[in-house]
Amino acid sequence: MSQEPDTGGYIQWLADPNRPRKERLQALGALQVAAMGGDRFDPYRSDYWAALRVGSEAEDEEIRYTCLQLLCMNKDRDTQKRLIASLDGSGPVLAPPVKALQFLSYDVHAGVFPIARQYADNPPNDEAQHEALRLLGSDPASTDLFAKILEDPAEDYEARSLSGICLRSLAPERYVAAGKKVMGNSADNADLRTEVLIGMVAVKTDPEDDELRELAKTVADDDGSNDSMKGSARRLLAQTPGTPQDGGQA
Amino acid sequence: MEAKTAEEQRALEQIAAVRAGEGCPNCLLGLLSERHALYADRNPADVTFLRGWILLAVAARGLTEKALPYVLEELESGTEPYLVGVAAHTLRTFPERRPAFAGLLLRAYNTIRGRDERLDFSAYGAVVRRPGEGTSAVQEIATSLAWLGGAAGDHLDALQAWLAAPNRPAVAEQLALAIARIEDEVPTAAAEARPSCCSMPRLEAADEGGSVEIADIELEDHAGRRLRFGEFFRGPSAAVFFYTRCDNAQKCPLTMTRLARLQRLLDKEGVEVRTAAITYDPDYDLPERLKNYGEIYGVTMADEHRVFRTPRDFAAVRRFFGLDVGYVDGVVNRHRVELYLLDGTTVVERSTRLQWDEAEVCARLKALRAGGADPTPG
Repeated sequence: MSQEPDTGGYIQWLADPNRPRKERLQALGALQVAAMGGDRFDPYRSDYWAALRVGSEAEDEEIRYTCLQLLCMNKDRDTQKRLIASLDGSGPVLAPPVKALQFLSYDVHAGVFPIARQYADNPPNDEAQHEALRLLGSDPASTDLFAKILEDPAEDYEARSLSGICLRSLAPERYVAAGKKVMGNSADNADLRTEVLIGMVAVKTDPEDDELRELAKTVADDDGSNDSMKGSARRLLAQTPGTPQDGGQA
Repeated sequence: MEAKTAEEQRALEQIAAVRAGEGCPNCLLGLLSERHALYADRNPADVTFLRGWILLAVAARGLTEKALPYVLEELESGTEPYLVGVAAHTLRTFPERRPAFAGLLLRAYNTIRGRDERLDFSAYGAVVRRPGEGTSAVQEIATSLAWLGGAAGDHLDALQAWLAAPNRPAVAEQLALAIARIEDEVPTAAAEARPSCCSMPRLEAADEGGSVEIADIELEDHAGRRLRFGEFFRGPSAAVFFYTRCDNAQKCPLTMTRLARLQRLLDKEGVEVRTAAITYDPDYDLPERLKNYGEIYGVTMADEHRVFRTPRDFAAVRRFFGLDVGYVDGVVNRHRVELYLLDGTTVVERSTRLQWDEAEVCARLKALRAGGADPTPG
């Protein structure tokens, strides 16, 4: 192992593809710490980002992924472009989809929503779908997709759960509409139905929504409902003005 | 970097012509409007490189008075190292060294120092991938301060403090040069400085909106109350634009902070006018988000002061105000700082590309109020 260098030396180590992996990783760790040093790191900052760009093309996955992540955390426009190209197949693969989506999620302005929607709708694996859904959590144009996944019992539980959370945040009225379908299906996943009921309590529901009231009453009275579902259904009934007798009965 | 759209191809040809000494550099300024089709559905990386390449073409022929606001805007409100570096570089091609530039350069340094990057201005979309190559945003700022010389004399203390901090040798060299020139040139520069050079207009007459029927457009406020545009905008008022997902502290967060200050000033001065903050992002910015965002920045929210979204037809609002905002797949990819002064549903004045000043806006609203429009809440 070479003698431990100063900050400038570590930048050279990281930027040198011929340097041993261990030394480049050591440099990466040391530079991450140094970068938090405020003013003292200022003279090195521009070269640090340039060295990370070199590292983002390293053959070694650990070096490459760490550099890509750090660049994305800094909203590096060039790295965002290269990762989107990696995802849509128009450029070299820099990282597996789940990691690329994770890195791109640091910036909602990265222009990643269209490709993320493709991965959410037609995922190569569950993990990539979950990551795409998380990323789309601030995309109002994905509400149809979230509603479709939430309502579909054939979809993976975690994908439906994530879709419900995202839909509730983006379009509460749409969430109520989709949630009613889940609530009304007694054969559906009990955990998901409970989550939907809890979510319904959290959103501002229409006090005159008779269908919702009936559904909540059915769940509250159903012997097949677990305690958590019954409790949430009762809260939903209790917060619906004009139906004290329903809340009381439940 | 190759053009991805026909619009981009046309723009690149126009830029190439200007760089080659053909065509007029000011004709490129239309390409810098955020609402230009060039930026529609382009990701921020493309927007950044396009705008930078346009400014560099302007620089190749010499920065003009007409193009100057676009450069000063980047120095004042920019957070992209590439664009801030390009702006600092381009400023040095202006024929005059104005004292007001120094403050903006130092402001840019304070914004960008924690994100400084190596930059390459030699080709469209060029990115530096080796340490030690190219220039950097901070280096361009320091070089421009050295170019300003005595015109930066009012900021000698700040420059000395910057030089005393850790710097790259190339940056320290430029700072030392700036300080030496200030010490040598102050009397000359002061003699040459024309007072009118230092004033940068922050409000201008508006020329948009006349042809769009806006009065019946529905607005929804932070409390979920719906009303027509014409019901709220009666009498003199101020409208600012923002969106809650904006990640540029110099833009929407600062706009909302200034709006809160303006509201306090109006109250103190007894100027009865209305204020509105309208989101660029109506699908995401639901009433609860608007309310939270307003509260974070201390914005007064009451009948006369509201934070709005447009549930439908934001496009009409965009056209009416001529908003300088672009989108990629529904997310803002770039916007400028925007404030409008209205009398009823007529836009009277708008902010320039520089940050507006709440005292100046308060005075303008006071004058509009004195004109006799009805400020009574409806």
